[in-house]
Amino acid sequence: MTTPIVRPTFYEGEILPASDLTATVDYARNQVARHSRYLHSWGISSGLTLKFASGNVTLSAGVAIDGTGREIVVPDDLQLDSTTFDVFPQVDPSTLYPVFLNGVDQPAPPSSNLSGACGGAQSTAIQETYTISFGAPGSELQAAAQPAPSITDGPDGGVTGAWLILLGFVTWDDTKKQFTSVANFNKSSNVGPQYVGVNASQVISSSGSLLLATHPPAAPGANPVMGVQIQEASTGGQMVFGELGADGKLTPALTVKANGDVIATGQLKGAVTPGSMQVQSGIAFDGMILPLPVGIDPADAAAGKVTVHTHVTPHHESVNPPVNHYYVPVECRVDTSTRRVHCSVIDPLNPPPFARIPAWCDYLVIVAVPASQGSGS
Amino acid sequence: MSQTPQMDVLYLKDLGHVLGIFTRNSEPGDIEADASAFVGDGLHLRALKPGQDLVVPPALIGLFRTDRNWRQILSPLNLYATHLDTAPVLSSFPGPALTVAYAAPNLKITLANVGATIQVLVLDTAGGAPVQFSAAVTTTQTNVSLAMTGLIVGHQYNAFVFVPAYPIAVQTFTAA
Repeated sequence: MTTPIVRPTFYEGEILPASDLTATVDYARNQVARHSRYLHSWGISSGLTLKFASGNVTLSAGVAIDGTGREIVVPDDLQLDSTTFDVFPQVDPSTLYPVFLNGVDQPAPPSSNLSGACGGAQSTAIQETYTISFGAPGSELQAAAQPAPSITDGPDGGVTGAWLILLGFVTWDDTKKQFTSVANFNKSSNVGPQYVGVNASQVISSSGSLLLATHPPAAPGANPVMGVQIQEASTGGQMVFGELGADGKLTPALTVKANGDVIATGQLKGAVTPGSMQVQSGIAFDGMILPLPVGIDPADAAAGKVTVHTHVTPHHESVNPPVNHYYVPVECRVDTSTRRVHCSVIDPLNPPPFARIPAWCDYLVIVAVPASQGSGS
Repeated sequence: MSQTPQMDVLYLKDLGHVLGIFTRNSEPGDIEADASAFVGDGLHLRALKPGQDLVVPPALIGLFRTDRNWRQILSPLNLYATHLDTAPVLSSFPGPALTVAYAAPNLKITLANVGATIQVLVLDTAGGAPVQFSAAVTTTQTNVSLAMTGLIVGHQYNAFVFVPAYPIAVQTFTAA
């Protein structure tokens, strides 16, 4: 059975050994780690982006929380050491090699004016530092499935079995012995860096407004920052989706008012209004399947969830038979089960007599969508 | 969505032969990813050989959208498409037709100029699914022999021959 969490306490006159003082530090540190682990999900929380320039890759300063709840701080921008990379067999210059960050505890240099029981200088602090490492292609998949620590564990010390945080990928020129590019995502393995999250069943704001955004406003990056904001107001609130500007304001693309009004600046696609009639028309040719109105799922038509009405007539406009040829319609219909067109004419005066010639038709398809879109309706 | 009236073109993938053109007065914003909605279990082509219903398998059929042209809508089998990977262009067949002859057990195809891939759909005149044959032609080759294997001896077949930039050719033969 796992030992319960122990919180140090002291009594008046107690002689405090180093272990008791260390336990007070560890208690708080472990508690923070469990908070980070279970109230949040691990990953990069700020910065830590890879940038490429002139054969060098630089990691920007930032903060991450690893899967043990350990905080890892990279205080300054750091140029990656290419000499530590040149260990992998190089085959394809487009191969993506993952770059990892992990936290490491290191004893700080001993203080010169303190001594231990035996008179030797000892360290009185731990430096919470980090290491950068490169992985073999595909090893990012293993990093995404690292075993979680025990529920009572504190943060990892980074000495054995360090938790790896994926920062991105680099490519390498083995001739020039230098990096050639960086990438944030590997499409082959479908893996990219993980960013911190929140484990919560409720997120409540006390300001009257709640914003969810894909990046902070004005964050550098190739994509526009998108956001969703829920706002309360004396006249009724609203939910707004749109692009988040550098000033922190959303440009509304879709707004849902408290009274149920939906305002879209673009087109509403996909959904078909229940209880409506949808129409398609045009020219079809013999042997094809008649098109359905935009938004109607062919599976719904096949399953009878919507009612399909079709009407076809032979198309005459612009059909110019050669001189002394006359086209007489003999068939113009639609197979009701498949919507396949059967449309043909004959040229009775020319051989082979009465051979059917495929033809075109003008079609009209009307689909009645039931008011209730329930199965079998 | 384009403001110019559009038409939808069904064509033979990789080779570019147009199999049919239709229009929709309400075009969707994004064209369908494949042609199955318009061909079902296969596109029935009855215009290539009177009395013969060639069913082209849906996997061989592609779909793209282009500006509407009435003359092209009404004569699709005279057209082929190029630049299929970018912005497809419809053109009439430029040169003379290829010739096809059957000398058991081979189908002999003679091209006026060098060609590329050849696709042949062979259909029993009694009906059924077509049998597919294909061959890659070298850049200097104008004569191609395709062995018609797997056919039923004594049965009559129609071979529908597709070569890029050549009109579709049809050859009737009795398998020997």
